[in-house]
Amino acid sequence: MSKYLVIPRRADSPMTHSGGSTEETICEIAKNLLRFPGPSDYLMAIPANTKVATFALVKDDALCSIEVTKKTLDTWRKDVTNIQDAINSFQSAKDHAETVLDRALADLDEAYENSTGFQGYIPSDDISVYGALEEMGANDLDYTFQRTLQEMYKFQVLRRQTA
Amino acid sequence: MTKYLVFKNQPGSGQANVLGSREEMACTIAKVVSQDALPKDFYIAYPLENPHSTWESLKETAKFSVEIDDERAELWEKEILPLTDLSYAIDDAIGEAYSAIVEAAQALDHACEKSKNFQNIKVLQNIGMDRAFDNLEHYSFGEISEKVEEIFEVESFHHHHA
Repeated sequence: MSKYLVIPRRADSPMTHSGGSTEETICEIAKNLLRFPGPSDYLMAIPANTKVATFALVKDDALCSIEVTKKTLDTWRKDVTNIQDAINSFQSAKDHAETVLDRALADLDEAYENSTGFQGYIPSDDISVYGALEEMGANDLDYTFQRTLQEMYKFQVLRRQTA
Repeated sequence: MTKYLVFKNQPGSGQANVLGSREEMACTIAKVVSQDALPKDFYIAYPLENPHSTWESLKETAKFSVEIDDERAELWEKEILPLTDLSYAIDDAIGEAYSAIVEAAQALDHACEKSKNFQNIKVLQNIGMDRAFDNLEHYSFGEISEKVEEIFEVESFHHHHA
């Protein structure tokens, strides 16, 4: 098991992790678990037992720590990416459905409001698109998945990101 | 004011209402009132020209009677038809959303099943898809249907055959 700290990469830093390296994968894991808004190459992974890591901790630079083995790295590369993509597709389908339904309901509301014989009834009062689709528990699923990943990679947040 | 009798169009009859005619309007009104999703030429309508002579015999086989005059026809064209179209659009959007979400959930379920460490995540079992979509049932069509029944003085005939 190897422990790494993840720090933000300075904008002017010429250092990047090589493609397919452990460090590059750790930055991808950190981006996912931190829900880091930028690309993963805005992050850097450093082994926790080095002076640079100690210095990052002293300076309060470290965003999180992550522990990996060859097996868990393999899991990330083979399994997690596929599942994360599928979760994102599922969320997109749900978001798209909410948008389309919301627009269709708004059109119907407007038509009722502009009618002469049907005023007083507001169709959207009888249906809650957002509430209904939340019932599916998709957020719970994402939460369960994230919790499993946090445990697998012994993920610890060290410094909250500032907006 | 003309009363139209609406009959079930027998399959293969070769008969259809003329597009844009009052007869076609009467059939669409009957479908809105019955709230059933029926094919285009499921019903066929005829004006009841002589109510005294034919009413009793015709109503034995008719499914609905619908009253249409110029004022009501205008209301139908300008106001009610656009509302029913928008209402159908919501049902279509719900149907499409269901298909897209089921497909995405199946893909996610498959990805978990294929993995080594996430097989315990049973997406299709854990997601309350049907419960969520039951809540999405919308009622505007019922509102329209009731009003249409009232405005066009629609009578439904239920025939009980032995």
